[in-house]
Amino acid sequence: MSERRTPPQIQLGDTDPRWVEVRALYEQAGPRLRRHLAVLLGSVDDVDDLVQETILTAWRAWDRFDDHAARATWLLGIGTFVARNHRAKRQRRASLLDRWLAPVAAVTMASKVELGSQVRELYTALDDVDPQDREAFLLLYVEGHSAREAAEILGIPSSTVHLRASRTAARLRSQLKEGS
Amino acid sequence: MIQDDDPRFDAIRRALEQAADTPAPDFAPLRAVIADDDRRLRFLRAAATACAALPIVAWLASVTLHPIHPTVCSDFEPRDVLSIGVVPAVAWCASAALVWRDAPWAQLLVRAVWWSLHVTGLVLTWTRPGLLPYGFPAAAIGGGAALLILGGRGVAPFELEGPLRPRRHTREVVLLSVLGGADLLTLVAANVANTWVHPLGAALVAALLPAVVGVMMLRRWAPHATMAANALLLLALTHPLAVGVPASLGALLALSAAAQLAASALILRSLASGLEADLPARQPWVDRVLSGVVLLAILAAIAGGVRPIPAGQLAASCAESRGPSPEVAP
Repeated sequence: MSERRTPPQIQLGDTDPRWVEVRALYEQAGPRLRRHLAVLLGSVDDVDDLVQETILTAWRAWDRFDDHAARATWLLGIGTFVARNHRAKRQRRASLLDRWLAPVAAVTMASKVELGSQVRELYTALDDVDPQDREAFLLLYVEGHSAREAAEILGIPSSTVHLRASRTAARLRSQLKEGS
Repeated sequence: MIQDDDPRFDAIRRALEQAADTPAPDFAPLRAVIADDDRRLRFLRAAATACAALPIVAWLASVTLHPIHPTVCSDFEPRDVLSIGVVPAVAWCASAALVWRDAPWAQLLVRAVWWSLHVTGLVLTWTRPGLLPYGFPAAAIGGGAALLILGGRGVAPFELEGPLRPRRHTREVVLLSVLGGADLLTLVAANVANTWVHPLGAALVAALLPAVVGVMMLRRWAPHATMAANALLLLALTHPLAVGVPASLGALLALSAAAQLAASALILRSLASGLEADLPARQPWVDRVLSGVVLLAILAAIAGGVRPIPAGQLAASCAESRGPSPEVAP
């Protein structure tokens, strides 16, 4: 593992090697990251802010990357972590508002993108699922990653990805059946 | 039945492609965000280092002013005053240099030094009044403030990775290195200051050192070594050989060893199931509780620093503080 002393003043010119690498990664994986965050959040409202937060976290942790996965996959892993924290904060805020002020509508994908009621129903059902199970399900079924890719993003064995995703699918099946 | 080709997923995918198809935001604003964050981080590091320097300033003042205005037990020599704070002072100098490094071991070591200052300062403020009446409260306040100011910067998931990738157990790894490092510092400082000179102290240092270094370097064997070292530590503290360990020091070490045993057991369980790099669940209440505990400790140190001390208690504390060293024993 390499160690790097924080420079007294960051060189923001294009010649700084770390800066060039981060920029290259952003240009290569930026669109994928945006899509990934939108899938996890079920919303595109805050995606740009979260892209920024993900890149900032990646910048800080740049030297910790140890080639066990592709850089882009590592970035998606950080994005997953950032999205999970954001979603938890949003749910807490919504729950406080719900409790103290007035019922608030769940923020869903429908805020900016017009979707069918079935999709909205699916994301609403996913709101009650454990975050770890929810992420495995979305990565595998909605985003279309392979089990191996999803395992690298989430930092868990492939078998655990399958287990979590199928647990969520089974739960959704019964929940959506009850609803209909 | 929900399947990969479920039409509902197709609808989501289409919508996402449409949503994500917009051009990614320009990279230039990200430069400004990173530069701002870097400036903020440098400020926080400087502020935390300055806070942690408080006890060193108080200790140096006590040493230099001792011959004309003793602020410690009046029959102490300046050399005795010097020996009380020399290990924490050296550790603080190291932490002031290392806090600027991003390496996980450096950030963990810095936290260990500050935690050691904070806890030993608090305990000694209440148990050894008169020994360093300004230095110990300043250690508790300065160390605690430094920990609060820097927070989780540098020891967050993804930043704290090496051969061991403890994303799920970032807090436990921080706990292991901070408590282990603080135990080591406390043992060494207690020996140097002659408050507790015992072969058991040297043996405990020898057992703890490799485990603490392993955790700070994020080695995969480190949780095993920590478990073994702390089991030994607990056994040693309950063994008849441990007679002579000051009660407050023994209680602190035992509490710390128990916490480290529990934390290393959690990490070992995750290592066994291959889930150590699983993304951590957000638990903001844990951070709030920890900050609350440190804040309470700071208040307790302030209260301990300003309380009036009866003359009898002061004399007893000074006599006890001279320890079993033949040079200073009456």
